[in-house]
Amino acid sequence: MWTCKKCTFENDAVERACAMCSETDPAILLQLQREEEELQVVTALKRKWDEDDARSSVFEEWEDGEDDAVVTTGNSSTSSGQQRSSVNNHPGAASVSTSGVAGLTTQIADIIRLGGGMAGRTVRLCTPSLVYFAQRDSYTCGYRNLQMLLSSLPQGDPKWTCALQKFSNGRFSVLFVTTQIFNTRARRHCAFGVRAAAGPRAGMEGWIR
Amino acid sequence: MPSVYELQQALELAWKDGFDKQGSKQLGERVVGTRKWIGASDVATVLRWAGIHAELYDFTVARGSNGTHPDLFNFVADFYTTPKAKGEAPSSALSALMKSGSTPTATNTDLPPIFLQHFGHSRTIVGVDIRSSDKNDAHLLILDPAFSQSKQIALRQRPIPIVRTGRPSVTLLRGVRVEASRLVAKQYQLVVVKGLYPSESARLASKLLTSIQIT
Repeated sequence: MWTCKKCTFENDAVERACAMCSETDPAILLQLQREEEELQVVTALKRKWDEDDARSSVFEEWEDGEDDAVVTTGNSSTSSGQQRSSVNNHPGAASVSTSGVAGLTTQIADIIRLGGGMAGRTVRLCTPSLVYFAQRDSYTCGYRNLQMLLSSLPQGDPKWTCALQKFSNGRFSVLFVTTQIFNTRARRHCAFGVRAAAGPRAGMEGWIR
Repeated sequence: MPSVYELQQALELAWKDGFDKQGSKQLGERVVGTRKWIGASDVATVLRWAGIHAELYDFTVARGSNGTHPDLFNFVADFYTTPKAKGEAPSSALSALMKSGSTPTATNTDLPPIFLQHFGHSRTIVGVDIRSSDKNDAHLLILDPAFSQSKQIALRQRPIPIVRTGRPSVTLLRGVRVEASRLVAKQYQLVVVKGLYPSESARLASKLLTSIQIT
């Protein structure tokens, strides 16, 4: 709602000019313009993410209980291991507590590229394979950040496999095999498949300065 | 992904193998099944134990105005503009950064995130946002596990918040972009993954945890 300064009529928020006297308010016009700009950004982002979704059919999330980790796949779609859909769209979502979501850094990059207001700035992000983990208990922040760090390491690279398996008694590889067996439509149906399909990273030489 | 429980197990195994004995004592040599907090040194310890070369950096002096840490910003900016990131030719990244025009560019590199610790909490640095014409005008891109995904990126909120600044990207990413004035803790620690240890002897040599002081 906005109030016309001329006739004090209470207009609906979407009205560009006063419905009673046709008076326009520059501040309201500016606000509407900005909202339109943002709508364009959001629309462009959603279009891009939908296009990405169309190329792949992946929905992944990590449920991280106190003693187990599960990769689930469902009907909602993402590409390159990126979650695009609301958790509530996932079958059985009510019983799934998502604490790990892939693709957040790619989404950040998308927003910067397609959004406005960051002209003249350059953004450098870490590897897109990072999975975002939110904490449910206050004491777990260190563990959640460690999980984010581990998720960004190149699981598909044999050189790293040995190191990463040490964290879960070989279940990194078990998880990889299992998800491929149960999800035969495409290897990219799980993050590990995506990473493996993409080939090992260039290795660690790029990380040493 | 290893669970919290598995990470706790890994940390105890690292201690049993003789990694970071001092840290082990501080936490009573036991962490599995407890609600004990772990910090940057514990993260570095468990990574080293697994054979991952992790360095610990200490930023103990706030050199900037109002208690800010420009050294920390410079360190992260240098890290993410390292010449070998994403197949770029040596020495080209920073110069390209400075020369780039008004169009914003966002690049995902092959670099890992950085573990950021300060008193009482830790976060994950996932990138840096620099004004092309002024390297000192930088924001860090930080994910905070204390917030939900929708808090990190406003686009995930329902309903989507209204942008009133005319700068949609800035508004949508306000939960992620952190400017220097918001990092004013007395000291910070970073854990930076630099690759794998080249040999078993190098891994074993990393048992004693030391940090690099940035002063």
